[in-house]
Amino acid sequence: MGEKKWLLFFSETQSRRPIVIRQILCNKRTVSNLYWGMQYHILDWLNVEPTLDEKKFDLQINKLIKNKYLLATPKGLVLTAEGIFQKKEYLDNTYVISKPYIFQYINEKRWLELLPLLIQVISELSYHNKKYYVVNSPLRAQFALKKWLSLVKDRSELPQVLKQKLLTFLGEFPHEYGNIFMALFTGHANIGQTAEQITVLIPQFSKEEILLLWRDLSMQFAFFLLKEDGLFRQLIAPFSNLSQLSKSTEISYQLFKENLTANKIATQRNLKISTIKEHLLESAILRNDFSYSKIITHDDYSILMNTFKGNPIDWEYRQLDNKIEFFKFRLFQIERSKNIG
Amino acid sequence: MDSSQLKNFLKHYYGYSDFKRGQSEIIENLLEGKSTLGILPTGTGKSLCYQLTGKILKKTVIVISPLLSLMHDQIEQLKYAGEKKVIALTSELSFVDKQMILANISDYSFIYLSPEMLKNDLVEKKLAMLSIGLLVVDEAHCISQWGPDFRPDYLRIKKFRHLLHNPLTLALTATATNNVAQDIQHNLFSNDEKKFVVRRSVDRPNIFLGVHETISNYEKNTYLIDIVKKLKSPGIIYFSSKKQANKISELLKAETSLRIAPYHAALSSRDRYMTQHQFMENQLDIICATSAFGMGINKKDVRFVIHYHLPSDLESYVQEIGRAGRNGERSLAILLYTKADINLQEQLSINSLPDDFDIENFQPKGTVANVSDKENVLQYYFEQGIPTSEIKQIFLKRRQEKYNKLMYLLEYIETPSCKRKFLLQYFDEEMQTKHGVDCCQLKGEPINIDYFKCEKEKKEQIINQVSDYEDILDIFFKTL
Repeated sequence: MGEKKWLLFFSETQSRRPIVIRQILCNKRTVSNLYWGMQYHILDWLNVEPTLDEKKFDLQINKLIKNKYLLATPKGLVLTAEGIFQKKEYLDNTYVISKPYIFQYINEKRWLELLPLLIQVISELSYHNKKYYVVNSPLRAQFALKKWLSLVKDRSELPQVLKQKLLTFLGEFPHEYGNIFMALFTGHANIGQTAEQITVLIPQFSKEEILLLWRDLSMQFAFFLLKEDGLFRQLIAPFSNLSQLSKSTEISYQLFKENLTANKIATQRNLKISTIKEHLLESAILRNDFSYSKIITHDDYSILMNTFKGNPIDWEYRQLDNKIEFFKFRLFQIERSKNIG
Repeated sequence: MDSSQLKNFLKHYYGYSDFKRGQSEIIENLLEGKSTLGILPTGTGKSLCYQLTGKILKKTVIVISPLLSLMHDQIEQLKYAGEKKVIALTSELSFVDKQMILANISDYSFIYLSPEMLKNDLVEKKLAMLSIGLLVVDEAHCISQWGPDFRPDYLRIKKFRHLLHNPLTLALTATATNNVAQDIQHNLFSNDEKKFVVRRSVDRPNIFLGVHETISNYEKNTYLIDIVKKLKSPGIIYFSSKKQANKISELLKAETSLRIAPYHAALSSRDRYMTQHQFMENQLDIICATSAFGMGINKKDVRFVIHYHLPSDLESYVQEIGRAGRNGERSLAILLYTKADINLQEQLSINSLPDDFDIENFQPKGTVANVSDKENVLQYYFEQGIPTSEIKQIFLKRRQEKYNKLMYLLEYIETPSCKRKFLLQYFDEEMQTKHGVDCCQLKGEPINIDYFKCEKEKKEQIINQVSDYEDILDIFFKTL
């Protein structure tokens, strides 16, 4: 089953390069990856597989080609009729992460280290029990939890609040998902089960699916807590980045929004102009409030609109005969692609 | 402090009424300011010796321990016993965490150190500023170059001790021949120090020793399935490979109604926690494990330990079977064996040492984390400026020693006389009792499994479905 999940990222009409898919899943944020990721409509999947093994992925893609689920074209790979069928089969029968975009906002590693500890500590707290074996957790998770607990004035309310939040949150999903999710946690007098053990009890879920469900629901729970006011928000906040942009890009983008030109931003930040342009392209791709007309002038628009028609993915810069710099061309391409998308 | 006062402390901190063999002698030595080498067999509560001493002295205890898994288990147990001021300084920590811990190092009562931390100047300086009550060298046989588990970093301990002005020290090991014991003292203490040794026999009379030879793995598996069905659980089956531990775990699950899980380093830390604690709570009957399992695990009612593959030597074997019968009840240790296992063990243990090719092509890397054990050992010898030809000789000799140890193990298997006597002689001990029906299986005799058979007890908890999450939440969070 392993390799079939990659079929989800391919299309029956658009040729797609597997390397772009891999880089998006691993969160390798070059402007080129992001641009093509946007064209493939897979940007929601940024950072969903941060530890993806390059060699293994390439071998799996080769297997999909060998099985004739994917066909090689000059511009990349496209789904065959059998590939379309297999993709649908996969979607119908397999657990798929339902809100992948959350993986851009929350630091998955840090949260998944913390969540089992949070549940166990609050569970034991509700029994006033201090004598228990703490679930394996890195020191940084223990520190983060201790720091947060020190902010809590009345800890006696925590069990009720957390229980209620989990009930509300899990109530949004099929009941079985909630059962699987909670079976993976350890709490008072109750040791959790491994994915392997759960798959014996619920054979319609493979071990891989159970682990996906665990990641998916854990991340959605973090997002759920983050959107609410209150204590739990403070726990997640240090591991979240709602801007989607990397730190340096975010600074450049804020200055851009304050009406500084790319040149001025470069001078102020003591960075190369090319770096700032990359920051702005990344912002244009990832944000929906980008003000294109601050860079592309009225005259530029006239030239661009006269030169290019049809699907922006097919446009080529050389058609402009150097009348407009590449940066503006790419911005225009992003703007029009988004309008179509 | 007299022995009744000491027992009061034991009762107060741990709830036990009596010490196990050797514990009180070691603690009394330490409280009298005598640095001690304690050679106590597995399961006799070595860690309690320094934990209780630390609590009585009310001063910082530093514990140097070579294995991360062992360290984590011990910390878990200390925390479980209510000691929260405990920390492990290891290469696993991030730079930021390490800085934070070092800045507050005086807040901790028990500081566990992995030996490579002794190379870190800042760690040394910070620890030198503390008032150290006790320095503990756990698994002290790692300091002996004659021992199979020699760790070059352990040789830094003597210098580190000197830097701390030779504090009161306890070296602990489960098994050490006389040669190894002398080597530990030589490499740890200075010549003018008075040293004390507390040694207790490695013998565990309540564990019956048996060997079962088969001609093929198929036969081995058939025999294994047959005996685990009959034996009283819980039990541990040891493997030399993770793959085999998984495979046989699956086979036994399919062939028996027992609750079985694998345990090895390839599992996620979450799964290792669950498996280990399910076993402790009798939610599992059998663990199919590599040697990563069991260190520091204090489960008293393990009824049998079976070795599916050969252990590397008799020292490891004695340690691993020592996890059975800690409550003193009759227990069973069986070594399963086919002739082909010899090659496997030879490859695993002897080929893990650097050979001439590794030595000639070794590039010293300076201080780097995450190097292999092979590289780490070579790094040490190159740092000492020892010529390549001499390093080759050292490893040739060590390969020979490892080979000899494997041969001793095979002699144990083949011995026509009492296995227990053979084992004790290997550790320079004399057998105190006579061979009898409870002692061991003599070569050619079958192992009388019925002797260890029992009516299967009603399992405490059979999990045959995933609970409803609303019920789990009700159990997890006790609310008014």
